[in-house]
Amino acid sequence: MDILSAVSGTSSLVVLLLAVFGAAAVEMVEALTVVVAVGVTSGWRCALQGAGAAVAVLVALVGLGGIPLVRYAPINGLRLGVGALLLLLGLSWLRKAILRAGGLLPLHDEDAVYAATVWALSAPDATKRATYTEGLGVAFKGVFLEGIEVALIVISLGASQNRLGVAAAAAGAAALLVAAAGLVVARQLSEVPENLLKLVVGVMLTSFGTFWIGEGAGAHWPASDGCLPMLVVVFAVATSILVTVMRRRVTSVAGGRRLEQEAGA
Amino acid sequence: MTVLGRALHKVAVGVWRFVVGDAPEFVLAVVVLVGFALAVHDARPAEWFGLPVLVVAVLVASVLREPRRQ
Repeated sequence: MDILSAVSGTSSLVVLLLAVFGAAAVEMVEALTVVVAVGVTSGWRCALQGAGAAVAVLVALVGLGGIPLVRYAPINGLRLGVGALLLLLGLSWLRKAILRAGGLLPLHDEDAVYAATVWALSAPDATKRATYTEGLGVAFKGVFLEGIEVALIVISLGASQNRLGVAAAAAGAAALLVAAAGLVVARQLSEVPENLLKLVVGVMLTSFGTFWIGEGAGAHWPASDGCLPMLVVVFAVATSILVTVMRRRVTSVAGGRRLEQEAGA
Repeated sequence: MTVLGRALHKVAVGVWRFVVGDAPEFVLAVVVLVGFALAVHDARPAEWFGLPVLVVAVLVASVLREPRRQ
């Protein structure tokens, strides 16, 4: 029985680490694009100051939001609320990632985001002071907006499992890794398979959301926390089937249109 | 509308867009799923299989609806 509970605890910790690390990595790749664009056009000082200020605000939010939840919120209500929030986030991530993988939505284009940010900051009439302030604001906004979802995931997953420190550390490690990779290659990371990461994180968040809604409602999952990997497998299989179906649909629609055009010509 | 009213409206719209994104049907679905979980929490097979099956059904319906939306 002890071995079973140890395995259950380990599996839920592994899924938590993967979910938080993956979510933070995806969002920080997007944030890095904006920071690099600001650094190249407005100077690295304002880019790093803006990014640093945003990270400080996010850390404060995690502390202010997470610690009271862990200490004072009733555990079942917390798990129900957190489960609902995680399921909402997870389903949204999964849906978008499936549609992108299936070819129905365009993939997130880091090069386009980079070019748009550089263009917006390179207005010919901008004074040096305005450029500095503007760059600071754009870097702050880029990191803060991308990071707020990660902060929410860290608070939800960390508070519901009483592992706020572990969740925050996983997010911090991902942010450092992405920042280090950005420094090494000295440009935005457009080669990162972002959509694949989004699919994986979407599956994890959906699994956690389903699990916590059940736990919060008083359900007893088979094998307790050990049920989480089973839920991950169920949602991963459903996701891969959906991606295949969407790809086939897009291919058959494109083939049909080509035939129509050929018949018209 | 006052400055405060406009600011609050902007914040509310931002929060709604952030939480709901471009699939508002998920909000209703999650509310229904929470209600379902509360209703069947002591009915063994339903609590084990019901939630994951319903979540997959919501996802499938939302994804398959997208081509018609476009």
